[in-house]
Amino acid sequence: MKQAKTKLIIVIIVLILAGIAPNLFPYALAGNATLSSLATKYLIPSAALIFIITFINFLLKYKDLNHQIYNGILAGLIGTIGLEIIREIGFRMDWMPGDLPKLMGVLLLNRFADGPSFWSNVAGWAYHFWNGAVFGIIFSLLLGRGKTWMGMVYGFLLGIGFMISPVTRSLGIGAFGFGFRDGYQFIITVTLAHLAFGGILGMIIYKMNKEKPNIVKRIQSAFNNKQKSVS
Amino acid sequence: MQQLILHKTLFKKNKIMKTQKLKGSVLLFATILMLGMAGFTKSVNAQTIKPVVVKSSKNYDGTISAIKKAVSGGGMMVLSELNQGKVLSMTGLSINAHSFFIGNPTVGKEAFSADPSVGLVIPVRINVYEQNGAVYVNYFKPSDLFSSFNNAKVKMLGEKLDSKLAMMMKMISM
Repeated sequence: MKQAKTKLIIVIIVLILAGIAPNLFPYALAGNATLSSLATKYLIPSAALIFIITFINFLLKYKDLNHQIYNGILAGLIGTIGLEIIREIGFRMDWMPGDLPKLMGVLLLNRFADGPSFWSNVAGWAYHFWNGAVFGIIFSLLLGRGKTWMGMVYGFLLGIGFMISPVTRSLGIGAFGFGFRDGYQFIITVTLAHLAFGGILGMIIYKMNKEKPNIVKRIQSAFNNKQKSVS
Repeated sequence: MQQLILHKTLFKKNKIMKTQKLKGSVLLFATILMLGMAGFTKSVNAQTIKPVVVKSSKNYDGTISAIKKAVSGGGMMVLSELNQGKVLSMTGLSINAHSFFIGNPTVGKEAFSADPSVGLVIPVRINVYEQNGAVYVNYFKPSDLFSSFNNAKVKMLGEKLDSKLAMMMKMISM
């Protein structure tokens, strides 16, 4: 039970750390700080801490927990490829107001007025894929094995969250992008892209997270003396 | 007698021609004068475009912070900043002054597609400065600046930006 409690605490810490990166972009675009300063203070440290924790897990022989985290990262990265295929098609069709990874890149390197460069593009894409990875970690740790349809619901909710975030407001297209072009292009592209992300994520996690507990089972295991502890 | 009549006729014709010439000259002169006045008035108007000045209800740092939030809330982004106070400190001048260049990519795309020369006035510049203990925000109304462009779309965008900036200034002066 002690081990179950320790793992639960580690899961909670990792969930908090994973939640930091995706929130920095909307926080910055809400005018609270520059994305470059937030990246230095929070993005890089949170990412580093996640990997430090996986190293600690390795030392503590919590292989299963590490597998769950790594599965989430891998599934999230692959899911982001699926999202990108749709987003890129949408952008080429002029169904998106801009190239989001490039925008994130210029903001990360504080060079908006100079436009994108090779390194800002690298930074932007890295941040974009890292967001996919941490959303994968969150899904993997919260839902355990889950199912494909759960991944799609998850992706759909992420898309909604994005569309009502300060990002759409500061881009001048309003919530759900209704202010962009004819009002439907943005919402369709973003929704489909996030459904693709979630579907791929859900499918991979389902295959890779066999016998991995979800957060509810972990809580039950940590506080229930009678129940078998989660391995 | 016939010669007299002919002379009188010729004289009348001459007089009519002279009168017509005079009328034509006067008309031409009036036209030139009116065109000149219109041009002069236009240039006078251009010279008399005055910036909008808003007194902030916050201190200097609070105003800077409020501008950033107001810009985001107004559907725009801070594309670039110039901390003039900090730059000028290198000259020995101690002053609080900061310029923001604001816009958003969607509006920018529309404007530049309509007329690439709008780069002269886009992004919109907002200036924050401290004077006699009070903090002010000033800017030129986009519609005033954009009216110089011979493009209906650009002018329309200028008016749209006017209302966005006015809304932002309300948030700062509250």
